[in-house]
Amino acid sequence: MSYILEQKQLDEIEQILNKDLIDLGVHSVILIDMAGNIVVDQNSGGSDHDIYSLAALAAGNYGAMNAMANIVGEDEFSLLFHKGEKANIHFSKVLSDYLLVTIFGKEVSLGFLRLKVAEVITKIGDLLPAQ
Amino acid sequence: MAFVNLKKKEVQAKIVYYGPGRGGKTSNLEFIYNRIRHKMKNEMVTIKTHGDRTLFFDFLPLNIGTIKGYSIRTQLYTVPGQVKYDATRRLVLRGVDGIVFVADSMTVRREKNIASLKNLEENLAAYQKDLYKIPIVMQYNKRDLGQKGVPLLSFAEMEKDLNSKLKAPRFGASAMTGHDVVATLKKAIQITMISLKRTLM
Amino acid sequence: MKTTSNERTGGMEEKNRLPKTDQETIPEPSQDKRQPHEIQLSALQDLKAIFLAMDWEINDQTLTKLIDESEKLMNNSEGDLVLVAYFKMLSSLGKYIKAHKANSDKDAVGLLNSVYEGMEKVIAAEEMPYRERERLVIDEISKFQILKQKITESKVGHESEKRLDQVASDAEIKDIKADVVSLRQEVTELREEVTRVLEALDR
Repeated sequence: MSYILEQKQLDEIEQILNKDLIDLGVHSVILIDMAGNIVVDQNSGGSDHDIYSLAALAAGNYGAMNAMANIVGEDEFSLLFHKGEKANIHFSKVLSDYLLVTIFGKEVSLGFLRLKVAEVITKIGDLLPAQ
Repeated sequence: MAFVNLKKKEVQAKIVYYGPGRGGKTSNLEFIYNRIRHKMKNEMVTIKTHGDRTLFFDFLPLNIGTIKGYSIRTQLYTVPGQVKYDATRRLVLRGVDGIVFVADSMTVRREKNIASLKNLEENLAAYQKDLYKIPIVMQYNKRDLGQKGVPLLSFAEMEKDLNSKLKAPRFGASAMTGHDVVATLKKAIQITMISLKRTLM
Repeated sequence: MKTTSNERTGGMEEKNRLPKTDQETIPEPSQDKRQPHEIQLSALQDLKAIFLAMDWEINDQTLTKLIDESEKLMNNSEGDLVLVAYFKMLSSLGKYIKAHKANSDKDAVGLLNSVYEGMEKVIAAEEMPYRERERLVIDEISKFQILKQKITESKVGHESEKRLDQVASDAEIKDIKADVVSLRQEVTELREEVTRVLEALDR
């Protein structure tokens, strides 16, 4: 059940995240697996977050949200988004085993970000091993 | 599940400290954290109740160095031990590669140890993982209390209760004094890495 | 409540009104001017709702509503060149984003919001002098032109990129062909070598 990602796949994923999200003005993007491991991370250079803790918490948070969704009769929630004053976090599932965590500020509209994220997900979904 | 990043030449593995409530899981991690915090940039993550009991999990990322050119990151997690947090425990167990079972040596906690181990087996099964196949180390914690007159289960009793079938490596330890805390961790990392090597080949 | 009577006084604002008589008040011609304004205010609520929805999610449904509303408002604002310009830009941007979705230029949504805010400001400030209104809308129009230019340039860029890719893949094909040729040669040489060895064994 452990998995390996090759240089080529990682390079391509990095490229997509940079072109479609970082270039948009997003502060940082982390692609993680549901165990809380970081697969790829990219940032605009302006921030220095503790991404390892973020990844662990994001996986836990997503897991908890999913469990709550099941309790209220939903398969999953379609929008997982936390709004801050200067920084916001958006979560999106990729395939069934990965999570794309995007941290962005006021410069990017959530509506547009969701459009971009939806597209990014289909692109990188093809590059990731299903587990 | 462990993740190998061929580009960064990095292996990430997840080790979870499991066991009954108040058994010393968080204390284990706190001891380790205090040992290495001067080397760490970031703080240990703890999500606790007001009563200082683990609510969600504790998290400590450890960079233990390189093996054959690959840098090894072990992510240490604890689970909340209280019975009511079973759903949370299951969440934290997701993708686990190795386990440290922290049992409470106090005589009054005997049933809780056994129940917790059974609970671990069930929660692993939910992820199609086998308690008897996953890398696991037993820690019989709070041995230091014996000197203070607290009734403790003997090593042999605990072995019989918890380890007779598993036959996992075991340590008598004290998370308070730190005795064998690091030894437990080292063993856990070692057997986890060996097991990973096998599955990744 | 202050009213303007542009029609009667040929563009000059009437700040001081005559006191009312006891007679039934004859509706002032300027009161007619209030009605289109009120229509705009309530129609603006619909548009505002659309923008609030787009804050959370941009999809075909909201974009279509945006385009329809903007065009409706544009028609209702006939005569007011400033407002017409705002609504036209909203409609145009709406159509662009609807057509391109995630591939829209990253500044398009930002501009959409900025145009909307400018338009709101102009409508809310009833007393705003015409020159000021003009200045504000020209600001947005210039941003709009800049974006249009950027989009056109990038389209051209993509076209030439496509051609570049084509050229690259032709070179790759040549390389592969060369590899196949040399591989065939190696195999032939290997076969000859094996034959020689076998013959030597026979003797």
